[in-house]
Amino acid sequence: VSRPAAVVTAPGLDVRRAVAAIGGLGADVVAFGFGQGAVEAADAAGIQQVDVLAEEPVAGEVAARLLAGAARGRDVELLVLPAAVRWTEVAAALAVDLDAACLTDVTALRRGDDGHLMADRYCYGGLVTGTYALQRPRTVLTMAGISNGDGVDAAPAVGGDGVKVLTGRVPLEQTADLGAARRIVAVGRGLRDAGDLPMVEELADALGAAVACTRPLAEDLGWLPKERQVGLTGHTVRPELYLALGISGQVQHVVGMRDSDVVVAVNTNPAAPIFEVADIGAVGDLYEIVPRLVDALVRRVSAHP
Amino acid sequence: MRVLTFVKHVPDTTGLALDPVTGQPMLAAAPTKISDYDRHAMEEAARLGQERGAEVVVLGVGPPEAARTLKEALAVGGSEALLVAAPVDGLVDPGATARLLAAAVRRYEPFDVVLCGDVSEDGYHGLVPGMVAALLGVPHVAGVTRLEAEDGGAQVTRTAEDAVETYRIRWPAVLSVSRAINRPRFVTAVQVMKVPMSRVSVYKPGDLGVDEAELAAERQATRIVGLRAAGGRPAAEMLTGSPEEMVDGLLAALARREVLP
Repeated sequence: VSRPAAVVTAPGLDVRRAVAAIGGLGADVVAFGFGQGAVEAADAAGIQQVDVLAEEPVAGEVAARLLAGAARGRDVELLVLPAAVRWTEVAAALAVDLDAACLTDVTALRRGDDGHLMADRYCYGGLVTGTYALQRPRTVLTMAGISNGDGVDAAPAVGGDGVKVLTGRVPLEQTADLGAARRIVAVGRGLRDAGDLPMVEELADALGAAVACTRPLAEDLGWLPKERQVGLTGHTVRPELYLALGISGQVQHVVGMRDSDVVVAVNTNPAAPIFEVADIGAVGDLYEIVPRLVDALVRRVSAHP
Repeated sequence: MRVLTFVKHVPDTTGLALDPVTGQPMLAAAPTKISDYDRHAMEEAARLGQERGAEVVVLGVGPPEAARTLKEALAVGGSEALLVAAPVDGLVDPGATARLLAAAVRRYEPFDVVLCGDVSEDGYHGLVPGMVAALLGVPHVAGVTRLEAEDGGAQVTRTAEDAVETYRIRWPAVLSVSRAINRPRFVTAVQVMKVPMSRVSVYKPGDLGVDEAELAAERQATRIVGLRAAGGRPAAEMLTGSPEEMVDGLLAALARREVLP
């Protein structure tokens, strides 16, 4: 009899990707829920069995203890957490408690010939996909693509003995939800001036897309807020369409977008590495292509309203 | 006050090439360096050294060449360094790394704070800081963007996905830092050279009380069995002609793939 796999659910957390990844393992899936709405989050992903571990959001240290107890109680083989800062803290403590194998940002799961778990994740700055063999009695993973800011909550105060007390929380201004965007228009150093951003925004409007950028535009130039940055030190996104404008395609950026369904690259340099991860490429100047693309999209909408 | 830092010696990913025939990363040929995130931790440790007279000790796990990276960290600040010589072939399981680092930390108890980077540039797990904290039974905060030390603890600011949080921490604690915390200073090759190698001690896991057979079994149980070039999309459909023709071709291709609104 195979042992079950558990997925952490919390309000607003979309765990369908985790359930899909576990699907091929032949394990029953249970949800370990945190906070009111955890049951709905499990329902939305088709998980029938939900163990609500806490009715209210709890501190990471408490979550780790509750999850360790639940994992032992149901004798789960695998626990999947969202790939997010707070849950990675929990995963580390949980793995020590359970003496489990532990990896973060896993992209794929399967079983090896001997029945043990195998997991894929990026390493070396996203240049390489590593396949890991996991041969401990339990495994704790965080999985890319199931994080959601609202869902990963912690308690207003933590640490009964006062060693770690949350004294304040200011929600970040969330004007962009890149994780939920179906289409993304991303721009890199090919954009010559911050004053040209309205041209990019116009294209995003015409496509019903969110605007994203590379690290230099957010961190070095400050033309767009950090919340719009895609890549190793920004967001990992998987939209249906990713339109990369004037982005050279350094691996640190590519790691954040290469699992998109359709990737379009526009770059003046035919040797730019972005073309290696693109489905459709145009060697050209974004300043010539973007305005014409906006016009064509607007015409298309007026022709097929 | 005693500050411990973790510093990792990693391949420089920007200089890492893939074998054109096998697609395997040519790790042995890649240049190596200090993991960038750890430079920010070192800078913060050096600041605590200057402002609060803290003693700074640098700890690392890695191959013998990693001693060079620990010397670089000492050039930023710090009195001595301890390298745990691990039989390293590529990436080491974070669990095994954490056990070795926790054993090294215990040699320097009582300590006030461990400072390290949020993640390493090569493995990029972000697990080691939290695992070391759990092994030592002390609190951990990841993603630290601001650290204000006070007597017996600190006020810490960190950014999680959706919020900026502030914590009051009582020492001892493990804090893993974001690259946003500071601008690390540049140290020259000459400054690194001037750090005497005698300030870096090398220990085997057994010297720190870690059972080497158990460690080997642990590594075996969470190991990399294959590396391949990431990406792997078929060659792109390249659009040709004038900008107008390329735009027409693009719209047709997007419509065919059913990704237009």
